[in-house]
Amino acid sequence: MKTFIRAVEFWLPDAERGQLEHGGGFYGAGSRMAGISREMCFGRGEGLPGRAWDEGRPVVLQAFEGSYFKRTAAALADGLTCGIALPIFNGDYLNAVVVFFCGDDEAHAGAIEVWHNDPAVSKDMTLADGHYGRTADTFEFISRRTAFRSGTGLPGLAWQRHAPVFLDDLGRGSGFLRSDSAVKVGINRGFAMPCATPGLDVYVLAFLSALGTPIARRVEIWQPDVSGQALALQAGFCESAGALGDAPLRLARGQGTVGHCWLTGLPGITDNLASEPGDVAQLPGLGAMVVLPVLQDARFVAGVALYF
Amino acid sequence: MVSAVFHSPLEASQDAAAARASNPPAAPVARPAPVPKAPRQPFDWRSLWLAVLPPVIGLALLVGIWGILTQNSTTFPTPKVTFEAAVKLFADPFYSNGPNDQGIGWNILFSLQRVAVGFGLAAAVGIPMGFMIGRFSFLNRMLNPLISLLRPVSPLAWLPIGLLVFKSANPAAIWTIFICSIWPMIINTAVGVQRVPEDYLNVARVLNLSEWKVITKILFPAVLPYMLTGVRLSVGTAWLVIVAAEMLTGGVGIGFWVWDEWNNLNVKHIIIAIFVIGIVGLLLEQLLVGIAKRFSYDD
Amino acid sequence: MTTDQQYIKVENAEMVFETKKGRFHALREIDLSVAQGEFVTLIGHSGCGKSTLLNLIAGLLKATSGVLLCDKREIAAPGPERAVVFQNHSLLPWLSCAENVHLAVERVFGANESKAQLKARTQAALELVGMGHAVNKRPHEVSGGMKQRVGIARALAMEPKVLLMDEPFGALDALTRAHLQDELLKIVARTKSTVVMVTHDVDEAVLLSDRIVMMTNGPAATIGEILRVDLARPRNRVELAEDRNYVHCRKAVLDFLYTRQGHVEKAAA
Repeated sequence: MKTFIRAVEFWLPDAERGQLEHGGGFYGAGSRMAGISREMCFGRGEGLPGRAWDEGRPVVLQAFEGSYFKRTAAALADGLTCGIALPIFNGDYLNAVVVFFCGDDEAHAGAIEVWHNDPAVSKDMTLADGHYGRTADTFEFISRRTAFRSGTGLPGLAWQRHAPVFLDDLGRGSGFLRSDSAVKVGINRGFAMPCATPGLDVYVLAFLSALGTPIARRVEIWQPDVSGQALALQAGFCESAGALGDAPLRLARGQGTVGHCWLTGLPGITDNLASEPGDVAQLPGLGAMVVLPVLQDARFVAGVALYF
Repeated sequence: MVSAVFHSPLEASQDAAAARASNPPAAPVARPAPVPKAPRQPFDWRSLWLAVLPPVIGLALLVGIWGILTQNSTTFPTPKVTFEAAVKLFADPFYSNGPNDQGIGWNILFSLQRVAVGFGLAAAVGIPMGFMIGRFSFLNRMLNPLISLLRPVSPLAWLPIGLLVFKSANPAAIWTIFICSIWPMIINTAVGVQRVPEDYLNVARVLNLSEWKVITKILFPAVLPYMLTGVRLSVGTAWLVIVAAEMLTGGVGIGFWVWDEWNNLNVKHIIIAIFVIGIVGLLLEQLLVGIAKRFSYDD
Repeated sequence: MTTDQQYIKVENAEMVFETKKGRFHALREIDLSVAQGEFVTLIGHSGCGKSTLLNLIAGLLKATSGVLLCDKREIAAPGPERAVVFQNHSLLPWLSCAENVHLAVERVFGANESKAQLKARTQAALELVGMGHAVNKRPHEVSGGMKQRVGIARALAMEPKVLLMDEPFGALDALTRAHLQDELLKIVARTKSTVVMVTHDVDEAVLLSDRIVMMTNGPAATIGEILRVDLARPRNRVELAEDRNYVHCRKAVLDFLYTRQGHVEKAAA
């Protein structure tokens, strides 16, 4: 089954901190984006990653054609239709920009949303932007009109905890998502992560999907354990294995891609799962892994591992 | 339901039937004002019969048993003899042969007068006090133990104190009436004030009504039913007490008359007095029930 | 004239009751702004503190902490500028309908207006709610729906800044409720009142509101979500029944109330 997220890449500031260079990416087999992205650079404000850096907040781009996007032809060839750039700031200092690409098709039902709260204005977290594909106009209608408070709803929970949240049942009930569709679908899986941005504004990136079109094949949320010396798997979900609970595996700083993310505060990508600690390589259908750090107040709060 | 307080069980079922008949749901009910009448319904003989017959049978039963029991008695008068004596008594109820020998009518009136005075004083003192106790919880806590302590005391135990202080029978009797009938008035009024629905008081708060307005427009009308219950309870006790007090103090009044007739061994007159006392008591109560109905608001 | 976006402002309000059985934490961290002319409903399960919040705005309760402002003034006590319509109509049974409304009118306008003017106001208020024909009737002589209309008339007669309604139609049967909801829509459109209403009824909330404030379960309840209902006005209940967006809004509120309130414990991230 195809995952909702089709491609993930990350960009790192170069030595002079003037440009973003390609740090790594997972694009799927035969991707044209893979080919051209490795050689590209983006200045501040340039292209999608540059924009996220410049604006200091997550950016959603719904239509590549005629926009500031620099790789439109390749993206369309790969069947990608939406890009979301997530800057990862360490205080005021940009560590990396992660870009997710999604592709629309008839079968997928899901959404990526960027939620925002400006504490100077109110206690409401409202939708800054979102990509809903072609099958979720109901969802979009409600999301655009809903304000969450801290602790309520998927974005509200991520906001309150300053940590990634995975819900395998959003409690939205099932419904007819498209007015002309006779197919009842439930958008019921959700994954949200808070974005560390300079300033006091709070941003939460939320991925929502229906059964059958998962966000990723497997999602793991790693957080420092009580001792603070090792990372433990706090929660997660695997399409083949179900909900993940506390596992005995502990990762030290620098151990495996996740441990490395903890050590550096930078995203990581690998397609060699066999060399990772633990036995994820044994699980069927997993090819590559992307690890994203979740930082808050310049501290590493969690590491999110997405498997494709 | 405030009005339920005033209905005796006998009337309750009749009233319920009447209420159901005259309250069609969801339509405003016309007030009892002159309304062009619908074609007259035939007089309801049946319910009149049902209302009158059982009490009459009860009374007849009582008289019958009395008659049977006293058929051969020398000391206890029979119904017939008693009835004849009653006729004589009521032939001239308002004669006056001196301060200690007055017609039965005067005696009743004297007793009622004492009740009225004592009762009036009790109302004048008790109702405002009840209001204050209900409204201010500090006063409530202060006076409640006192009230609980004094209330169960038999009113007749107050009589000697009355005699001591007032040195004369009439004021002492009035004092006794006062002290026994004040308690229901205080307590019922206080309860009434405490039971004023929170919503009415909230309305007063939202409207920001002055304390005076709250008392006159909200508290007083809301408490009135409770006050009248208190009054009605007091009246029964007062009438009871006056007869006993008068027996003890002498002078004039129906209670004195009973004791006097006992000293004359005129048992007929005692029995008549019993009936008279009962009837007057009943009438007093009915009067107050009537007043209470006038002021109740069916919700 | 620019509308005040924070006509009612509740800032970090908390409500803790000291009861015989101990402290009861009813509300925590309530932050809410209501714009002038807006119709906001508070919805949630029983015990979620929505009536408590309404009473705080009315001034009938004093918040344990936090600030409540109405038209930039602190809400320190109840008053006619924040008129309340209670669920139990609270008409004084010993006064007629007109006298009940007059009591309010006199209080607010009595100092400056003549008796005739007060009478005119009373009559106008009763006619606004369709009770002009029953002015001299006592409350016990009219039906529940009519009593509630008089309650609304009384509140509106005071020309309040804010109309606060605590489940005003909760005690009525469904048809009367529907009828009164339609009347309320028309009245509010005419008077352009700012309204905060507490309700249990999802359909009522979606039909009447500009925004629906959904509260979490108590104790220590707070605001969970706020849904903006921007269905076009005037709203017609029969047409809306088939309106896609109405159905979406309704489902969103139902989901919050019935599908999600047990959810918070599940997410052990």
